[in-house]
Amino acid sequence: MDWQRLNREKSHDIIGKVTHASEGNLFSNRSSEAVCSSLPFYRNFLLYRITNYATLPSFSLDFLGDGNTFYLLDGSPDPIFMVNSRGDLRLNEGNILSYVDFFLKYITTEDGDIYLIQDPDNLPFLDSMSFEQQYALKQRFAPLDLSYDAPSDSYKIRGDVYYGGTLLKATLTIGMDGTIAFSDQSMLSQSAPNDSYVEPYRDTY
Amino acid sequence: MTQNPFDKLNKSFTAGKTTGKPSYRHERESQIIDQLRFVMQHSATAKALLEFADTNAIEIHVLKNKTGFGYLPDGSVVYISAAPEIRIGTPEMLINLVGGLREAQQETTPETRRPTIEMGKERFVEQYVDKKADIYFHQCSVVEEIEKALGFTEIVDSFQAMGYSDILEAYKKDKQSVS
Repeated sequence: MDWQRLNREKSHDIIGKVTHASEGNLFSNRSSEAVCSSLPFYRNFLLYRITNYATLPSFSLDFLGDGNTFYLLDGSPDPIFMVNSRGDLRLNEGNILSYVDFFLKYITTEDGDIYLIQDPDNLPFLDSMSFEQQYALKQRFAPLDLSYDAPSDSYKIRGDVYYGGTLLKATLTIGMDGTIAFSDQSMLSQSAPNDSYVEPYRDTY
Repeated sequence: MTQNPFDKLNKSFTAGKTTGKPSYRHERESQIIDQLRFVMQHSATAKALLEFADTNAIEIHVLKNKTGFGYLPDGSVVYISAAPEIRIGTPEMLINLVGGLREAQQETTPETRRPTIEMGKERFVEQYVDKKADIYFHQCSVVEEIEKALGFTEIVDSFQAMGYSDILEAYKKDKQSVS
């Protein structure tokens, strides 16, 4: 993510609006800073990250905002759909993968994270797999197949997906309203990452 | 008929709330806090932290978030997080809450307050390390006390899954060497 620092005045303005929206105590101007990053699929909304540097370790939350309204990216699809419903979403062949990446990164499911595999050499869970599993994944990996389906006015991506500890091949259908649905799945491999693998939490005591 | 493994996933990807004022709070905040408080009554260390919080009117809130955290922004509120689909308090939340409450308690004395850069680098690092060690000590105590009182091994598993296996092991060894 290409984060841009905001000047002090703008940063304070964003922090004020974010805290005013729900939690007055969450961030203070004195110790916190806001940065932003543009998202190629939104016209007016940006991705904001607010960090409190007074805590050790520093503490961050991410938001979608248009300068006035801010939605906490809380792990549910609701904030993304709230922004989409405001007509800010513009999907095309050039940004559809960025949107899917963004969506899957910020959503949590009961069975954990879900990844659309674009590069088998660059996966967050790659190191937790045995060499045999990594080899099998690389042997079976096929580049993503992206197409536009005119009758349904949606994009379809056929590719490899990691979900619930399993590698699958599946089709993602992305509507122009930003909804995503998975279908046509077939087993690629039981991935079974090492039991000993633990992922320390980013912000925790 | 074979169940589509994505059925549940597709359901969770459907739009829920798309209008209204955004709220950062978890929908089941009060139930989650009640459950955590109930379990914490079985640990003397955790019980003392709750009494400290109640005496000093320190608020506890649960925010929706993908990542688990415990966060004390200013000494008056402890925030913990829960994924939106979570319905009940979890051991991880309890451990994070203990960390947040202990840090709130640390803020009441100058020696254990958050260090500032004005203290100088050496003192800053020293105080930071001391604070973290003290928080870990309290979390280990609570994990051990709750495991003993309730036979609740999941809390040990959660603490280890959070990446704190070595800390818990060191705590137990230290305790053995003292006794």
